[in-house]
Amino acid sequence: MAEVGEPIRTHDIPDPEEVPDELPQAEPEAIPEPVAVPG
Amino acid sequence: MSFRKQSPRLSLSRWPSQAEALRAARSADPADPSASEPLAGVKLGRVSVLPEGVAFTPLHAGSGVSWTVAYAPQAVMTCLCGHADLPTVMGGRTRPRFHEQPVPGDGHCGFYAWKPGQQFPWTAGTWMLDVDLYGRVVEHERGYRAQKQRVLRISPVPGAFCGPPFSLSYGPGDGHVTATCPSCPPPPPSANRHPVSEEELRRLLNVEVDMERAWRLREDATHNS
Repeated sequence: MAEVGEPIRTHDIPDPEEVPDELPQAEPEAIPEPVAVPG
Repeated sequence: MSFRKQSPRLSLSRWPSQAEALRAARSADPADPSASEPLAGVKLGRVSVLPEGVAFTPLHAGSGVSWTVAYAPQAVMTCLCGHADLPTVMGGRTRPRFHEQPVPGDGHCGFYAWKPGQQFPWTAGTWMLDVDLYGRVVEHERGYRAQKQRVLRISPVPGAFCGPPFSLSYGPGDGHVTATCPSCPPPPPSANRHPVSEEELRRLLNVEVDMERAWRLREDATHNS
């Protein structure tokens, strides 16, 4: 193809890693069990 | 797939993004022929509404091909070299072979794109595509020919006297999605053009749609020349 000129070199480029649309959500902090308070 | 010949006069296209040019220069560093990151390129193509769905179609289909050549936003090349007849050689007609990937000096298959910063002619009614190229990529002096391509961003190329805001529509014939401006004469009712929502196009293709990017680049280039 004359439009893009003569070939210069060849690259072998790996497939880009898929970037997830959303960042992984952090695990919600564990909610402590209610502690019985002696009355 | 091929490109229009470059105009001998100064092209209206200038690529203003330094970051993209730097990225391309880094990824195509002559000292590092085995680039590990996709190579950035820019090209013109068409966005077409086909019976099978919305897809990209090249400006020029391969010779000897009677069907519509279309590709998805992320695609691996389909070689059409084997459909092209070679000139008669020693009394016998030969056909070139099909390729799984671009081969320098053998065939013309692959996704073509200009290098960022490379001047190219605008064609109204087409779309400017920012692409990433990977897999086997043959680097040429002014562009690339790649095995795999991912379209990242698209922008309609409007007519020379058109200005924003642009609206999109396609006709029942070729299905090409084109942009018109408020000053464009309305199409005759017989044209049966169907409006296209920018948001719907973005959702269907899953690429960024910038309605004014190509127009801005052309305006900037016109004012700076």
